[in-house]
Amino acid sequence: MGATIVEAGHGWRVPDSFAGHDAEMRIARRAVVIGDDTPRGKFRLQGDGAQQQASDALGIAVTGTGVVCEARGADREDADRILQIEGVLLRPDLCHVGCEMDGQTQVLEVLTQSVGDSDTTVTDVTHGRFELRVVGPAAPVLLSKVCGLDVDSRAFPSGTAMQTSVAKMAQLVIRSDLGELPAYRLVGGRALGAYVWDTLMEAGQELGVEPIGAQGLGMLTETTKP
Amino acid sequence: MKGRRIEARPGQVVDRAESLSFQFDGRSYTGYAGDTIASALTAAGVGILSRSFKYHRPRGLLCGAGHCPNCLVQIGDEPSVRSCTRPLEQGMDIRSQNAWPSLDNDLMQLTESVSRFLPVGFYYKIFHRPRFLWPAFEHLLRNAAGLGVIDPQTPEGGYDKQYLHADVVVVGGGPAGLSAAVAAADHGSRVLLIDENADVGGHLRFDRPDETVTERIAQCRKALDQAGATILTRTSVVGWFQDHWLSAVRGNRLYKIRAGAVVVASGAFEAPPVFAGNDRPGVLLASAAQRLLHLYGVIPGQRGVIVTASDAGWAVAVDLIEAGVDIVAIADERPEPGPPEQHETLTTAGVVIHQGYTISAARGARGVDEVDLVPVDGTAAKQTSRCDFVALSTSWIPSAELATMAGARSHYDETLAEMTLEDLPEGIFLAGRVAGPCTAEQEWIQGSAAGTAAAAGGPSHDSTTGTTPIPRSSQIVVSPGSAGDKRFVCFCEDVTDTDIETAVAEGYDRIELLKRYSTVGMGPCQGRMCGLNSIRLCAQNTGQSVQETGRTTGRPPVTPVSLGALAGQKMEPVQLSAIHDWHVGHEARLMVAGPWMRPEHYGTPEDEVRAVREAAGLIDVSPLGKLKLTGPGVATLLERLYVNPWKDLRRGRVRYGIMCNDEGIILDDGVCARISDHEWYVSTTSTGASGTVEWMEWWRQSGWGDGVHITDMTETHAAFNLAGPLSRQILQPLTSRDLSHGKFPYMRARRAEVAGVPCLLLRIGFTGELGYEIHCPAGYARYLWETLIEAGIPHGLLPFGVEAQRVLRLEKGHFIVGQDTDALTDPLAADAPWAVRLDKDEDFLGRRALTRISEAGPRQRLVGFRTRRRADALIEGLQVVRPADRGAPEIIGWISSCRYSPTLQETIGLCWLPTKLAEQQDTPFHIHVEGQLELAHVHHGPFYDPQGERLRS
Repeated sequence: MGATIVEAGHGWRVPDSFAGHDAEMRIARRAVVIGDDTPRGKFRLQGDGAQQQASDALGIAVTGTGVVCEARGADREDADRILQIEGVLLRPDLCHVGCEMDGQTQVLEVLTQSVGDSDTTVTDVTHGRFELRVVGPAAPVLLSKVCGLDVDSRAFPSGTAMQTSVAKMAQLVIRSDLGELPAYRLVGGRALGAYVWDTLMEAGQELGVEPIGAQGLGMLTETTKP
Repeated sequence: MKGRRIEARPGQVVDRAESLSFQFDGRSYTGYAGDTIASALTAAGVGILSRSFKYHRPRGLLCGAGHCPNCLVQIGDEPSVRSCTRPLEQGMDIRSQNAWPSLDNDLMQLTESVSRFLPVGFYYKIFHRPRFLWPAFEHLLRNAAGLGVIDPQTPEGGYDKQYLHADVVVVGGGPAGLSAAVAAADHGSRVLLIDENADVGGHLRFDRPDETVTERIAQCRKALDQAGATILTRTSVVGWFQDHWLSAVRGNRLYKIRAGAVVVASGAFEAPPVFAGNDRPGVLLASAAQRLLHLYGVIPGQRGVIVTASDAGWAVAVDLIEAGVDIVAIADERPEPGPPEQHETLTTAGVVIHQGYTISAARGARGVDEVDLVPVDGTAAKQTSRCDFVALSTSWIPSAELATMAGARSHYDETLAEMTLEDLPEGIFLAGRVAGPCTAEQEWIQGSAAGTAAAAGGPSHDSTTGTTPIPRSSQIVVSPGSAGDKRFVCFCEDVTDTDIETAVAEGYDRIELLKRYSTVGMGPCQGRMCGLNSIRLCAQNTGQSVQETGRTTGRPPVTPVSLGALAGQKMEPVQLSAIHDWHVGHEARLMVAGPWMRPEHYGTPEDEVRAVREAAGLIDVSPLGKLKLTGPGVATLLERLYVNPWKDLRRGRVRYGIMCNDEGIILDDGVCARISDHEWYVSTTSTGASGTVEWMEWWRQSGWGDGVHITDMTETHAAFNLAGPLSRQILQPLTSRDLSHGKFPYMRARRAEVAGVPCLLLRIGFTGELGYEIHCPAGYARYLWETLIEAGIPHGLLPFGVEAQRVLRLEKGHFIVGQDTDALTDPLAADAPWAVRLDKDEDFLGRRALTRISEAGPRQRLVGFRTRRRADALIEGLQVVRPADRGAPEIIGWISSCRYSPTLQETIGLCWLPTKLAEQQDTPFHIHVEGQLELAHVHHGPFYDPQGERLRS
């Protein structure tokens, strides 16, 4: 698709930009964009104590199934830096934890240390799950073409998550708005990433969907922070 | 007025500033933007739009609302388009259907002249004998049947689906629907309003224009916009399913709608009466005339007759007179005159008014030239009127399909001569003309009440309660004295009242049977035009009441839906390996393997086999299922799920395992590596991964997995198999782990960094050579693969695909679950009794069944075979047979795998044979190949390196 690929650290090579970040951000504010955020850290905590372990280790109050709890954990190496972590209780004994790519190692360490010899299992599934971002005012319409979930703000507000079928495949959908912009994260099996991407791009043609690179996504996130 | 197009008036939707040219059957015409195809053709004076299905009678515009089959046309490659609702577009190439050589002169209309030989149900009675003529009959019937033409070369259309959600869905955008939507929105509900027409307003759009009404509709629209309600026009709700799950279609899009409550405000539509020649072009419903007049500025003809059973016909007559049409007569079957004001207008215009009359016949050469009007009580002589069209307003059908699908019961009201609804299910609300006759003002009131109740989640009710309906439909089923031509009940299938009578006389006297036998109601209109008339005729002929006769079951779709819309966007999930792009870039021939796309080979499978046997090969085995099991109870869980023992497996060791169900049937196989005391790494077949995870999880959650956690790592880890005698030489420089046989022997697992990537190495060998299965985080897969390829090329390494792998494993005699096994295969029969430990301490799935099989001995056995026949002629699945002196040979087995071995330079395979035959090495047997018997010989054990020395080198 003509993306400029750059090294993003931790061995990841990511599309930095497709049509220039300014243009991509404009489309994000006007229509809908899809970005590949797969390098984000993704962990599974399994066991009866998973919910408590995640809460204790990361300082996030995971309180109910399908609820996203975003927390800012202090980066031990950089006290001024805010590390954004989110936890989703998928099942009473299963938690999904997501974090920025840069925090992946640290979060895994914290979780592993916290779990210790308890009966909770921590697994780094970063490489096994794709993570796509769907951002823009037309994002709910785009998702409604591939997903039976009610993605309207009243039924699925920012900060909530659901496991559902997207493009006929099981995925975790996390609503994480960027300011006023509706935004969703889709987390699914890595081997299906290309298929899901292509399906979304095709479904979004009528909405003017365009891909957005890491640079545009990052700037969009920064500019929409309160 | 110019031709049939009158001057512009308020309410018309055509834009006369924008002319559109189009073609119909090769002739050029012009219409306006906003026209439908049918309105433009009518304006141009085209009266015949189609030919009927069976008798090929000419048909013209009838309903104008997209219900009947009379205006079906073909547009490009799209057949059976309803021209009365499809908007006209510039340059359209429109063709008539079901006519040859032309619409005006259709040779197939000769069918009507032999109609007495084609009675109802003729296809059950004739064409069956003589039997040898059936191919000719079939050819004839296939050519005669069907409407329109589908071109198989048509490119795929752009279809899709969309899911919608609403607290209240209002079906129908007329006055009742609009007020219901506004009321529900006022109560804070998320509202979705759906209407099949181009705009909301319902019948008010094509009733006589009224500024007050127009303003009221505009206010509703504004209120709905402000409340954030969604309005979908040109959208047909085609089905109701459990829990208010609605399906709707708009163009090429199928909507799946979840509703909290549904307000059915779908109105009512007119249906034609039964009289002689009631299908002639020029016979149309009064509402169709109103649509033509008020929406498109078109008159249906110059000289008309109105037939009615209510005030509705009088209003239409007045509108047509004011448009300059010469209305010669009106026949009202009621004894009393119509509304005084309209009566006076008609009298002043010189219209002959026949009270207590109805129509008995329409005649004409190509359309309508004259009609017979007869007294309903037979007390006077018939009156004949010359005209070029007749507008009918005698029968109204509530559009209640959705409510009945939802479970509402229909009841025939003898006074109203209409079906009404009772016992509405929870969450279904009725409002407006669907619930019975009412005035426009009553519709507004009823809609508001229904919308409020739906938003409040109150009990379902018919909001018409308390109002006294004024009859609008005729009690007459077949007009008295109607003769001289066919009287059609079903316009889609050309079923007449005589056909119904005959069918009932033949014993098809139940409405469901009658429908199937006569095909009444089975055409494109799905009974909308003929449903009630057929029930009433059935009742008349059986002597039952209409209520006793009942009605046929309405099922989705209410209106025809294209298969493309049902299919939606093409979504074919395919799983790609993390290095898929590398495979594509290196000219791999790809194949579908379960949900995965895998390289079959990269050019020449034989070369790939030789590379593995003589040097090294590298295959992407990422699709293998990969599970991480943790917890103190893993060994116990595995003991119960596999036929093998596991508790004795020490850390760092790997063992092959077979998983069976409780009947001892093989479900899956793979290797299990014990990484630590409480962590195991289990591999499964590529296609069995998800099933195995579910199977394990099911038993874990059923109480067998004490503290066990199962994580599917299939996509988290990529996996490659580096195989061949030189594989150690290739891999060793990339890792600090000592790979020597002493330090890392066969069937062991080790963690190691390979080229800096954290990996899990399994020393196993499906190919029969020294080999390493390398599992790494999928994100590093491309880098590691390319590094291994680069390191291996100097040693003669080649990447190899699934085809070479199949040959290599066959040379070793390994079976593949799903290919060499089926739903009856147990491990004892599959020549793997060494894996089954019936004596292990832990009970396991399949133990009892396998114990019984072990005692009795398997009836069949999977064994190897050799043959001189070329492998490409031995298709897997061929039968193994025992030759017979006379007759067909006896089938005794089948081939499950067969390949030419470049290593052994002969054809080898696996097959299922009777145990006795399979017991002896080199026993000859026969394979049935294209009528010939091919000799093969039993082979026991691996074909290649039977002692496994190369694996352990």
